[in-house]
Amino acid sequence: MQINRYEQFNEACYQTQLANGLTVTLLPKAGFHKTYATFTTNYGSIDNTFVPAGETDLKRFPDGIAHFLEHKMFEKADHDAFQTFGAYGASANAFTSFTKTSYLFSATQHLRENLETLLDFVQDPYFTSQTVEKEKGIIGQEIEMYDDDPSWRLYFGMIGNLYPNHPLQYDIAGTTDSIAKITADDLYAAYRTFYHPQNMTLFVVGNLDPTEVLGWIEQNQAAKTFADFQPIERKIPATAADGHDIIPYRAIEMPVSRAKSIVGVKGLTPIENGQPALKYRAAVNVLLEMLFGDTSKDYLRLYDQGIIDDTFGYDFELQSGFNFVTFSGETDDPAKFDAAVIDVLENWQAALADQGDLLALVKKEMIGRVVFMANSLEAIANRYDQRLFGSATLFDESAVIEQLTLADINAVAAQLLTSKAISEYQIRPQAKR
Amino acid sequence: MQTQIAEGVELTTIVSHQFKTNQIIVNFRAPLDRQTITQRALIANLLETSSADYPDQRALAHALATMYGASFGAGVSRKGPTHNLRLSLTVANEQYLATNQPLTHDAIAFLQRIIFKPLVHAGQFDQATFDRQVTNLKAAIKSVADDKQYYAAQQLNAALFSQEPAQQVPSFGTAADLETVDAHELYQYYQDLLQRDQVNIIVVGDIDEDAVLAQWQAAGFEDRFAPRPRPFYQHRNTGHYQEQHEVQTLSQAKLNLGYDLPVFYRGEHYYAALVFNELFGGSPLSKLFMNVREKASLAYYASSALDTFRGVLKVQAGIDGQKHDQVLTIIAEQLTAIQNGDFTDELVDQLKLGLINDFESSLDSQRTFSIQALIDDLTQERVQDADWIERIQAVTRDQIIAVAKLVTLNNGFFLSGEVQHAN
Repeated sequence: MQINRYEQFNEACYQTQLANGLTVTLLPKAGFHKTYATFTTNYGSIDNTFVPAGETDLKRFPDGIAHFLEHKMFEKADHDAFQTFGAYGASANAFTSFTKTSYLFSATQHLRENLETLLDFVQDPYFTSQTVEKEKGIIGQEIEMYDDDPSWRLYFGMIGNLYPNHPLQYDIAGTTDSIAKITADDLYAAYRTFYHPQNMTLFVVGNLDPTEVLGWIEQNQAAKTFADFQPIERKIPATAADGHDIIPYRAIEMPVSRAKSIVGVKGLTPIENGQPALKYRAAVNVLLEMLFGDTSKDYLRLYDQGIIDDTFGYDFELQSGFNFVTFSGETDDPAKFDAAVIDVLENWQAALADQGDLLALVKKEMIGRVVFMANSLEAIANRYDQRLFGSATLFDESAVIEQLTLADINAVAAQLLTSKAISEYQIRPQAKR
Repeated sequence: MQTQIAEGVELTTIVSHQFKTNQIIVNFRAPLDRQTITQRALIANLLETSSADYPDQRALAHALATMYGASFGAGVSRKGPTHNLRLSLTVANEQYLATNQPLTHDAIAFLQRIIFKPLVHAGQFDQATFDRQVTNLKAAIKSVADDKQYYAAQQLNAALFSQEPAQQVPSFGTAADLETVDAHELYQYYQDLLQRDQVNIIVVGDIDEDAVLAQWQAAGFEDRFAPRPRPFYQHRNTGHYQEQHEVQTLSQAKLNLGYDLPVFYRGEHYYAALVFNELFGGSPLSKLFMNVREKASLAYYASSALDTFRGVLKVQAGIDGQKHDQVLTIIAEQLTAIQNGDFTDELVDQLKLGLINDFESSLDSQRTFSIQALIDDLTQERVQDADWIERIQAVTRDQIIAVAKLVTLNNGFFLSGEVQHAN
């Protein structure tokens, strides 16, 4: 096991790759009662076209299949994995994002049994046409619920603007029509392609002894056989490097009491995975805080003018292969909101000039946030992303932030904040009938 | 360690080495009063965004950023017949940072400035700040209705407590109240609150208790005669079911049910009620989850929750609007099944294990310590962790059945999309 010690935080991280290819990361937390484990495959909602394991040609699968597979993974011939976790007092869950599917549990007791349950249920697929049909009702309900959620519609509306020819634009759960086409054979094909240990990571954090826990995991994995790993071939459509495919503006009506608006900026430059990605994310977050954080000039000005209020927020999404920023909020005048946000974005150079003091302050704030997150087992585990950041953990982030200079911030601003990458999407209240 | 700083003002310090942050909570508690709910919510928003030393949000944000991004918030909540206005500040412990800045000391000093030096001119809250926060709170209250799940829960709450207006309105008040409030009157009320509310200060973390105590003793809190409010409000059982139906444009219908269940925090039947709730709809192993969601595929979510400070049980489900009757029936059947003892001992053991897991897990969150300290102060009772676990383990199936028999369905709120008429 490779050991990374973080003296400043009084923490250590243990990492190894098993013979079958599975990457295991263990992070003991003294004083904690709970242990939190995530078992993750690099397979998400955008991976809808790939060469199925054992085949040679690309095949298009129905949208929402990764999420559907996640739901179905829990059900077995004679039991449900939720029940097994329940029997050991653990609470279990799973989630699917654009690029990953994670299965997780947290427990204060029976760590070994719960870990084995996690590994076993994810490594033992069981799908029948009957159980697949039944799931369509449950997921259909989930999709309908998201359809009613204005914030969700706003966010996906913007993604549709930024990535009109890319599977990112599809709802992670798919549509009622697309999931209707999913079969048990599709699920097996996706499973065999993406759930090989070589394409997966296991992260365990909390009340644990690394040597003992690794022993359990090794024993469990050694007892199973896996097919040879076939390198994964996925087809993700390229998007225009100059941003000409971006839809600059769309608006819809919904039954909301107040309009909502979102401004998006698509990262047109690909970001290299590993340390560069870690640095890029930190630099963009610092940049956004300097331009729009509550310590910035413009935030206060827009707040006092009533253009933004406490509902205003921004988010930077960086995943393997794409990145974008969104700014959203409720507003009485969406056009004014968008114009104000875009005005700040287009004048970043003036806003950053001679702002060394502000940079120092924002860095302090961000480093403080790393300390906050160090209290949360979930934050530590969920920030880990082997495909994107390699072996880095939360505790590597403060050194990266510490080293950022005003030149770094200017460089990412120049790269990211170009007018051609900006788009607007609005939800307006339905006209009274 | 608990110390009385002044009559009616208590400081609790809890030393824990588990966390890398220190947390300070100042809670103002008063008997719930319909007339002051909105005022208190507005005060929370004013204190959160301004003070004499930090006249605008940027100055305030700057002060927090200087303390390595300390996290500051003010909010209101209802607990039974009490209303709480809470200021909370969490700050990194400086031993994990390359600094000698005394962050916890600075954080406490910051909170004291927020409390004792609000942004006031000529005997009233600063007019511009006041106006802005009135507008924002009004907008926030309006937007809440866009969250259909929350809206349905709120409507059910109003129906359950139709006898008691103070229990009906949300803890953050109403838009109508905001039309009449003014900056002068509100400041008068804040003075009143500062002098009369029961105050609990809780500091949790790797702290120097004596230094914390000395700092709060010097803060200037005055003695007050603040009798501890009653901890519980008893819901009135109507004995019969009454449902309200509202139609809006939406695709997923919501069915919320309210039951009378006269079981109170740490009182008779309390631990059995916790296990009962897990069995009925409080966990993924529950009757509602297994039968309404999984077996019958009738709902995306279906769960139950207890309010043991008011004596009610609530169920919420997101369903297909056409299946209203079926869902209502199947939920009723689950309750009857428990009343008839239709559940295994093995399941009960698993549910207890789940409750204990949740309880022990909650000890990994710094907030748990301050929330528990406030409840212990309100109820004037402390239960050791080991005793809590023992009491859960001691719950028998007969006790669970007995709790199920105390449950009476009173109210329902059904929110659905437009009814589809067959041609």
